[in-house]
Amino acid sequence: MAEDHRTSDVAAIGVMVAGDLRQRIRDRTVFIFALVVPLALMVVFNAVFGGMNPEKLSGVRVTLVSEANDAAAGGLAGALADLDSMEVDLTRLPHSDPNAATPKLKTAVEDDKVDVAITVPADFTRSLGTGGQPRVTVVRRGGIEPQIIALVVEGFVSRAAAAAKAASVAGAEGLAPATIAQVALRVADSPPTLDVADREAPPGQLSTQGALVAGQAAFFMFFTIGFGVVAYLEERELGTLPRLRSLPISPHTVMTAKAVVSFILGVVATAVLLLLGVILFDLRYENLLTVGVVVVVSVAAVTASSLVVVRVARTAEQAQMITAILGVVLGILGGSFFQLTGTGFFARLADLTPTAAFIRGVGVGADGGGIADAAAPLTFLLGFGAISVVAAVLLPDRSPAR
Amino acid sequence: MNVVAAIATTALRRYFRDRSNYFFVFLFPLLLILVLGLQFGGIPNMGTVGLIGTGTGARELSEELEQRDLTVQHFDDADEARDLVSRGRIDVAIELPSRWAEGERDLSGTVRITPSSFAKGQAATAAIRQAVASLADRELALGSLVSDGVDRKTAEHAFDRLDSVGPRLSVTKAGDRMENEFQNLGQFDLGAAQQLALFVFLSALTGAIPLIQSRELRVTQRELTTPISTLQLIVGEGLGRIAIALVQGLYIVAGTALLFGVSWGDPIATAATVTMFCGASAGAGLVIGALMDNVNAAAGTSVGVGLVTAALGGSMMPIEFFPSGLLVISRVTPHHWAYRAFATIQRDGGGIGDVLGPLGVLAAMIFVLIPLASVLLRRAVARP
Repeated sequence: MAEDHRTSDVAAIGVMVAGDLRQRIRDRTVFIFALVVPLALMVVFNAVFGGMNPEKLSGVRVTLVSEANDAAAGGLAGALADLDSMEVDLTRLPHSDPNAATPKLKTAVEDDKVDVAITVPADFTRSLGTGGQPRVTVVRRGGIEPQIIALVVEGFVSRAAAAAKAASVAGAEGLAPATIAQVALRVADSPPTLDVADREAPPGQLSTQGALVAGQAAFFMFFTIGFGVVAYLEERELGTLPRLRSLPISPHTVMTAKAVVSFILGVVATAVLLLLGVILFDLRYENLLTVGVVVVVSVAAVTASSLVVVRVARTAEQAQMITAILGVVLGILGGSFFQLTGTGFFARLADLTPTAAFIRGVGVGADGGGIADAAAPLTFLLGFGAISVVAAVLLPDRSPAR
Repeated sequence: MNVVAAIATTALRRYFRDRSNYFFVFLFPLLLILVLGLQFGGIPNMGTVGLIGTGTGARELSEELEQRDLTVQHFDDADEARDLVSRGRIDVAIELPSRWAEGERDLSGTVRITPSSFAKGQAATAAIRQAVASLADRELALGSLVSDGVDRKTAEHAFDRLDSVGPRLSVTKAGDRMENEFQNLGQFDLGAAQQLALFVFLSALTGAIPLIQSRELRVTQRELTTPISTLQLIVGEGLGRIAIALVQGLYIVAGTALLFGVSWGDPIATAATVTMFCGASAGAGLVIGALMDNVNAAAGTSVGVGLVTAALGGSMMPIEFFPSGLLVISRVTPHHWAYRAFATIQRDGGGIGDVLGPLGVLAAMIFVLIPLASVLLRRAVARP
């Protein structure tokens, strides 16, 4: 008998889900919220933000004015040419060149003909050994690349100053002139005592476009899933809910059917949006299984949170507003529009959003990470879903019909 | 005129009777301005690094990094810092050789850095290399002196007293139009102007919904059986929306000035810009309300159009960073002209006479959108 009841519940859920899905497909609203608006935002955001966080540093045009045979200036030119993080287009000019005068160099930088102009004074190397204070000047444009060049020059000057100081101390301590020169040379020419080695970051880095697509998919997930909830409350307002409840089915069948509709809409819409990222922005999801699991678990968690909305909203309009507030607040905090950086209060708060967990999980999968690598975001999402279900059970129903 | 005023007052009363509107109209804009100001306000730096360790060596390096325009955050756990790199929260994680991190003078070993794959990670890495090299220079010099027989303590003492020896460096910036553009702005100034345009426009677009509801309930149709014209009806509805938008706009101006010290510049020019922008926004909301028949579809369209125009109009990214093609498209949005007017008022101390151009464009938008909404509403009412 109990088995028959269960069978009829499953059949009823199937009928209600099919009916609701048919209605949603006929209604343009789901398409607008789930596909059209996110797609429009992805395209526009890509046009606006696409170039803001490039994956490569741009090339930089540098003019170095120095004596042709100055050893230290030659070392600086070598250091600039050896920069492996960006391309340096280096032009060397002697002091005698008419374009080497400081005002002309400044004009060249202002007119965007050169990004950085460096002047190493005449007799630079010799003056280092004699305790002189030659001044190296740098005129640079704004931006990261010219700043890096300025840092390289600063490093060069810092090393030269250490060599000059060492020579000075050696002289004061009464070392022989030949030894003094050796001390200075050793300091100037030695490689740094500390090596700097790069390590690879754990999987999870999304490209700018990847973050944009995952962010928009996460943002509109709340709205798409919310349609199931709204449909339940609309049934209540239209008076069809009591009629459904009068059928020989268990009390939670109607709500379960609505949740299943939300879940299906959420999974399909999110999957389509991620797929559009592949088509439009050439994104790659190296581990599809991980991405798939993240999508399913995220949609389940957000669907669970929509059960709480059913409990606290009195009307369909209220439910829409609560869903919008939840979606917008969690979306903005979680990184749907911009990534909060650092480890401050808001960044910590962002870690408590399903949006951030979804973006993180998609990032891990896109970067080739397995399900184990995505354990942290998946655990969070499961916890978020479980807490939502418990809250939905414990919260009193604010329905005026009751 | 009484008819128009009555319709406007009703629209205003209906909007503010729904308390759920208060969140997006009053609370959320200020919260977002606060978050954006704290995160992105001020001059951008070279990046954020996570430094593992808190010993003397870590502190020394931290100072060097900060001198190089990097923000330093300290971590105890290397895995946590590296995880944040992969999530884009920080640009580089730095692990020091353990003896150096604890403060020993032995600078041998390897500094391990985990950069993000973005340009900012590479830039921060270049800065870290220079900072590490700079710290190592002193040790290198002392090591060289000691190897030639100078006592270490004597060498240290003499070396650290020598300030006026060795080359000097002077760095000047030139041709930095972008930095000059924003130098007069406070931490929250730009974000406040941008978010004002975003939220006022978004709220005004959602004004489409009551217009559709009025038709659904056949209130509009009944109103039009009385001796009032469609234009009077739309002007009344429009004035109601403008009043709602003005309340929100002026609230953001006053709220951000009081809470975050935002400098809005000349009050007359600011008030005129906010008013004209509210008019254009209300006009856009009325067009959507007259064009669409489904409340839910209109809500989705309003959110989409609101966010897309905000992005294109400079409410999410300053238009100064736009490529030329995008800048042309941007001019179609009212946000663009409000942005330009606010830029002149806030950054250059401009008055009403300096923003007549953008205000003229916003006025033209009002005079196109309101009659257009009137025509569309007449058609909408005639639909079966």
